[in-house]
Amino acid sequence: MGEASSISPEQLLIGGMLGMFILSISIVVFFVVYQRRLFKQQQEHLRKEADYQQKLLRANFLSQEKERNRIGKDLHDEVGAMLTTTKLYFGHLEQAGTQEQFQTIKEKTFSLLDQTMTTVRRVSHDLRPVVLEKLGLVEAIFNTIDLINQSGEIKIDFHHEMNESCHEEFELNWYRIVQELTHNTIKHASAKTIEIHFSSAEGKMKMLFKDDGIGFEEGFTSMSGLGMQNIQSRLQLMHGEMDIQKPEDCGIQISLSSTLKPHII
Amino acid sequence: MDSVFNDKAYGLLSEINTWYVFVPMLVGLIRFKKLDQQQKLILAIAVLVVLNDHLIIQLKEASLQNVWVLHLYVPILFIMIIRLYTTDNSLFISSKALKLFAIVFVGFSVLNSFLIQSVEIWPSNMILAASIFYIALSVIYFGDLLRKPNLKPLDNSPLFWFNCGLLLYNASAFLLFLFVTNILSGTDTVLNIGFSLNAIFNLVHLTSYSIALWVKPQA
Repeated sequence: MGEASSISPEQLLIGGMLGMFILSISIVVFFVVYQRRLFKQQQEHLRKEADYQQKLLRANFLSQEKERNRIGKDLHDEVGAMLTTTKLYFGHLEQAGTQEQFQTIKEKTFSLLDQTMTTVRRVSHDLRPVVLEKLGLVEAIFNTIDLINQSGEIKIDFHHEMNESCHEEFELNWYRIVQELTHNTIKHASAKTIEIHFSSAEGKMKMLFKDDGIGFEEGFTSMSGLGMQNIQSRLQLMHGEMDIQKPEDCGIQISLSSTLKPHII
Repeated sequence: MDSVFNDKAYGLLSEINTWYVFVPMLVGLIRFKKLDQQQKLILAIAVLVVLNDHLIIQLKEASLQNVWVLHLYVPILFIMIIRLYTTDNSLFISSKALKLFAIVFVGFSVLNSFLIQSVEIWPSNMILAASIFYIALSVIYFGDLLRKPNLKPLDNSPLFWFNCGLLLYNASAFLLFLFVTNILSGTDTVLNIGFSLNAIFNLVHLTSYSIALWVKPQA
């Protein structure tokens, strides 16, 4: 008590004012340091985001280039070769001595033209599957799955609860995602079964993809490989996301989701 | 410590303050063409500070009553500071609320000058109320800067520098404003200490105004 009374009003005033000054300086310094740290973190985040976008863009370009090469190859190797042969046959038609020879060459020419038309149709269907356009996503997936199941190498179970319809642009994206994931499993996972479950409700499209294969290698991410980058790129266009898991009882489990329609800005 | 803050020291600090008060205004006038909207408002505040300080000195030298100047200065400064902060649209307090604070404060100032503390008495109530508001406003502004989704470097933000000065000066001189009546009626030593420290903090305050007017704001 005695010590407290020995503090003079002058000392109290100096102490109080300097104390408040130091306190306010501390607040400013704390704020500046903290803000700088947050700013740095934000810059780092933006840089990572830009890198990620660049990766997706690159994947997009690469896959477009790959698709162009494939179409070019199909047209050159198959359609081009068949048309060249057909041209040769047309040349032979002029030289056909007998009616019988003429008939034979004509039939071969028609057969070649039929094959050419089938090839052109296949190339065109690969670009935009007719079944998807005419019957929708579910039927298009059933169609793809039937073709794979017929091979007997792998069994795909497909279930769906589609309560809301999806935008046609998004349907093509989901169809390509299914193709990419099944293709990956067949090529790399040595799986015997695949389960695909689709559902749509409350403005969201969800897909669960499971296989019983060997799973993925250590360090595998949603950005590993061009195929996965393509999926990520498609999902981003649909404001969607992907979650990859490796459960104990199966090889791989991937949950994907997106909106049902593009956002109108 | 008491011997440091004697009449001579207080006199010297007051003299320095009298001239240092021109610095922000000069910085603002030199860079006038390059100032943005916020900086122009800060320049207007700096001009108001010069006018207030020198009018008080001139009236004192002419042995005339000068406290009434403060009764006008405090609410005008309050309105100008509110106007400055309303230029930042991302502030947590809406521009409407800030304007309402300004109206309430002006109303309170009029009542205080006519009914509570006459124009011949040091307007401690107004200064203390304004000081509490400035401290709260500057802390809220700092908090808001952290909440902004797109953070920016602060070095070139005029309002950030102004806000630093506002917080440092008002928080530091708060005790002086709180006990000003006791200090004015106290001993010369207490008076010298209080007003010498106030003069030092005011130098910091004016420096922050100068930096706010010196920086090149980001587009």
